[in-house]
Amino acid sequence: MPVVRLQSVDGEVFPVDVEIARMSFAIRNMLDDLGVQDNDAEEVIPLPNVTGPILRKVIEWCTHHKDDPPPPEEDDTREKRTDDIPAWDQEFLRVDQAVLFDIILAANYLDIKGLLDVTCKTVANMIKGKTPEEIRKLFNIKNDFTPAEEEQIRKENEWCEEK
Amino acid sequence: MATGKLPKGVQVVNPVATMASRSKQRKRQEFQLENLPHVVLDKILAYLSPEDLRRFYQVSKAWQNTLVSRKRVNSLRVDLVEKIRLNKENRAGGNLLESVTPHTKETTEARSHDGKPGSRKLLGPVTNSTSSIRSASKPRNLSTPSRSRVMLEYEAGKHLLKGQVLFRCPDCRSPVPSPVSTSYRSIGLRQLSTHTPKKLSSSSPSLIYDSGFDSIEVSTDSHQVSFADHSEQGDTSTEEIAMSFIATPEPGDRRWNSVESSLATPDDESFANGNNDNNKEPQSTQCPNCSHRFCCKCQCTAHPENNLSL
Repeated sequence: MPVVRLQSVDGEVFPVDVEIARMSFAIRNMLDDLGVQDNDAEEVIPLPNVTGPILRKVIEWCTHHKDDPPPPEEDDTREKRTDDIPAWDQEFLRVDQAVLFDIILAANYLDIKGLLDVTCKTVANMIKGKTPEEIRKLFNIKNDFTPAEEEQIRKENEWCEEK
Repeated sequence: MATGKLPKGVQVVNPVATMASRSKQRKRQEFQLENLPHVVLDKILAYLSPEDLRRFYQVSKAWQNTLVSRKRVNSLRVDLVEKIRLNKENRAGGNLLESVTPHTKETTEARSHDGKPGSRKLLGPVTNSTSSIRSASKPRNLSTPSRSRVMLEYEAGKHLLKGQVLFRCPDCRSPVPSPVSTSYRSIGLRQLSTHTPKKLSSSSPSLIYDSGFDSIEVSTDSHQVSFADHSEQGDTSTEEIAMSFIATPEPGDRRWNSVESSLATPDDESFANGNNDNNKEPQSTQCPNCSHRFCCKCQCTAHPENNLSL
């Protein structure tokens, strides 16, 4: 099995099967641009925006999903569900928020659509059904509204609050 | 390397651990949802419902700006807020309704029945609409002058015969039925007692009377009175009718005056005198001098000597 070597920003090198590496459209384009064929092993591809631990997580996810069918095309009319995250992915993404967001950034940089979808769904699930105060607490956000702005927001939303 | 005792207040710091810790803190501080790439934020927001977007909007200024800068997603939130506002306005705001709804026995009972204020408070006894329509068709005892007049006209109209119409007495302004063409009795014709009506045909019942005109035909089905002057022909055929008019001529019509004043029967006189118990409504009469029409209760003010009020 041909292998490609991915080098993280901190110099860590990860040998990865080319087929798995090609799940990232960014790596696929690099390989294509470099003219690297499947039989050209030991090619090192630097990834300056991804740290070693995050790249390890990304490779782990890609390895697990290497046999998945290609994700469907974006369709705005399709219902956006967030309750269809596979159990393995839920467990895989049970990490710190910082790690989760680094994985999101890495998935976006490496253009791994499946990983990006599942991480965005996870973040959306963290927001869904929570009050503004609960969201602030979860994401450690300071309420920076002035009293006047808060009053304005309250007026805008007073019809929506249950009495 | 000598490892002497460090002076008081000096600590050994692991530079690697310190760097990692600082990096972690920096990362945690830098990590903010609004700093995610636009594509990622669009994806996350696309998974949120309008209600979640409404709460998202209230988290912080940065999150608010993140949402407002995306018009399509933000429009979902704005539409939701507007829809909820309209729905609650239509429901009069629940408790708000209580303040504007009068507390009746029925509404109080309905509210206490299920214990949920606002749920059934508008339910109350509904009056029978059919009965209200039925009662509305008959004028009640009305107090205002105009309504009293309607009442009078309604009562007078109930006694109208076929061919009769109501007109208003100019003196007392009471509704007065006009004479009827279908019956010489109700026409109030005078001086007819000596003449015997002659029936022309059975299919079209008509009566012919002698009067100032050579003949008068009163048709019972066409409600017409025809005056025929057959002095030249010497025949009483209805084909020689010279002129005809409806039995309710305009006031001042001399022909009507002639008919009315020249034809009468004793029964008609008693009828006109108000002695008829079957019809106590005032009948019309007319001043023979000025054709002024008035009801039998009144008299012509211009010719009081010709008082026809009976």
